[in-house]
Amino acid sequence: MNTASKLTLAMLALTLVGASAAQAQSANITATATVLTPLTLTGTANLAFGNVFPGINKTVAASDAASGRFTIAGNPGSQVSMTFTLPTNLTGAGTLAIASWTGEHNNTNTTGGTTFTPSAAPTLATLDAGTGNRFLFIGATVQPTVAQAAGAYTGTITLNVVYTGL
Amino acid sequence: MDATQWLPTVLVGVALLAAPSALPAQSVTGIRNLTFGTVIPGVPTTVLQNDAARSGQFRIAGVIVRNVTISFTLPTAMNGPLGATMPITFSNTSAGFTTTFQPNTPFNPNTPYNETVWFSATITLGGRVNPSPTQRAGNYSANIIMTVIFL
Repeated sequence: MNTASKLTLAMLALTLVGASAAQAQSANITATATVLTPLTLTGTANLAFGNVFPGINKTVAASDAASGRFTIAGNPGSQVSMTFTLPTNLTGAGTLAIASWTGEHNNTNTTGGTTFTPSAAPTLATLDAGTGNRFLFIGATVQPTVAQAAGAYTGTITLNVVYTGL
Repeated sequence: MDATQWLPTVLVGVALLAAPSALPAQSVTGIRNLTFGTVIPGVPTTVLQNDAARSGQFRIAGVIVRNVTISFTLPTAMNGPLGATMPITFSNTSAGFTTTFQPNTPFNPNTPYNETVWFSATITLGGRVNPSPTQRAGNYSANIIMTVIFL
């Protein structure tokens, strides 16, 4: 290393040493998040077939007064995904087949609106931009056999709803 | 060696000596908040430290070359409406260090981190929030402090 280079390094070292007194400085930022309103689901009416005659199918349409009903409440304007766990039979004094599920959903809590087929596959809906509500109406058909045992039959319909993030 | 050979080198040395007084004072600044945006109850949300828009960001400036120790005062919960809190965590790769000549290097913000700053450095910070399924709706926030010891 020549003399000039040594001189340069020495001067640089002096510069660095001169600036090396330990000292601390701090700064702040803020972590922020906005949490949406948690979803609330309410089963508001049972799907009621009433009296059923052996050997005669009976259908309750989603638009009927006897349809099953749910209310979803959440963040206004957010999209939700709805899935159902549906029985294939009602149980009582034996089993009673149930099938041909139908559905409607809207923001007005009166029958009508968007039709859909309740199933384990997701159905998307958007909560009302003002109230954050969405109303669901469920229908189906029971298929009693000619030898269907008399008595009351019941089954559980489960709705699962999650935000999609949209 | 004649003067044409060594004089430029000496002048560079003199310039380096003069540089500290010409630079602004060394500084540590909070540049950008760590922003989780909209969070869904029951769904954890993660912001990566290299997220160009949502990660938190600090800047160290006003030095030529300096060894530093970087440490954070990190929250364990964010504060929301009516006293509600929401857990927030930081992993061992939730922070990133970038300086001249050195690309983004992840590090653990939970423990002090030693590095060398060349001229300036950018420190980015990500994190993860864990809202409960019944997390109260509303805006949440928490303060994050970064402390730099210039060695």
